Amino acid sequence: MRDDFQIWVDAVCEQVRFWPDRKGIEKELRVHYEDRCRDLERLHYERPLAAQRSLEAMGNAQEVGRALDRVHKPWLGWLWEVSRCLALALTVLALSANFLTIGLPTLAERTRGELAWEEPPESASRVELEHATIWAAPGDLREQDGKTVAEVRLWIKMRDPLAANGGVGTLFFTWRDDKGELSRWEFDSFSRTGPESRYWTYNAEASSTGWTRFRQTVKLVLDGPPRWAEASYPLSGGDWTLQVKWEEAL
Amino acid sequence: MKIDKSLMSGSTMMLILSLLAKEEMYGYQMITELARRSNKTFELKEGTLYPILHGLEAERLVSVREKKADGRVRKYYRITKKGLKTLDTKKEEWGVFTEQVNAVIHGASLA
Repeated sequence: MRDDFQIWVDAVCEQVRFWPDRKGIEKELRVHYEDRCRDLERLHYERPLAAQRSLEAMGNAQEVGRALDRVHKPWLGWLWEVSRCLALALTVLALSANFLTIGLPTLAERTRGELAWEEPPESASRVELEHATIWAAPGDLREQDGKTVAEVRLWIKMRDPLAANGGVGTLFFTWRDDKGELSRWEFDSFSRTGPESRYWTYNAEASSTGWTRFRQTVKLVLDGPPRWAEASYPLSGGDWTLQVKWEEAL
Repeated sequence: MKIDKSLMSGSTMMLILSLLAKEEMYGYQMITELARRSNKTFELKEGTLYPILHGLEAERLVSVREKKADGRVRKYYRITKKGLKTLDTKKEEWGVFTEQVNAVIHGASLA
């Protein structure tokens, strides 16, 4: 059975057309009513009398309800609810899009690299950078269309592949062999020309979310068999070289 | 002395903002504080406080947060910067209004 206060507060809330707000209104009015009851009981009122006086003090339910309805306007309430839902939907959409376009490919790339990883040989030359460690070892030498193709096998361990997509740092490699700078080199499915080529981009400022490891092979297209070849990094004070030597020429 | 309700209706908002100017309060606390400070001259029907408070919140003159005290969760109202500015304006208007009312009822004249 509803007590008198419940009847009163129901009559208030019935007037409020924007029903999602009714629960909050009821809760606030109930706390107020109970505060008043407790105060009266402290003054030694019997519980029923305290309840009766407290309810009388609350005023006319219809008047209170109508006044609340004027403030809790349905169109404003629904507009607020709809915009909140829209904002939530847009956030979810943006996060999903970000995950699908960046997160998922990065995850796939990282997994692929990790599965294909094997430790570099002892003989590999190595360079330690702040955000990467690179090992290099000589690969196959072969003749192709009157040129020599020298493969350089690379093992790369680098920080934060996700940041690499929008990174601010760039490693520029200059390849040369014992006869001078190279004009062409190939990497996976694409080739680069010119002595300097942008190779890996990484975010030097990013806080680490982990490391990724992968292997790659760079093909150097040369006029003749090399004795050695090296990559260097002449920019930004990062003065280092990574040299590989072939024991036997073709 | 009880005051005519119509005299109070125009100044309720100013009274509430004045209460909140010093500290945040919950509804029942405002009612008791208002009665205490006015020596029980200003006694609202308690339910009618909430439409006023919710209106002030809608106009961003007060902000609300829920806080647990004495084992129950209460909504505490706090005056905003906008609310403080509005209170200043209301006080100024009130000063002019009472001055002019006094001038009329006490028979003063500028002439």
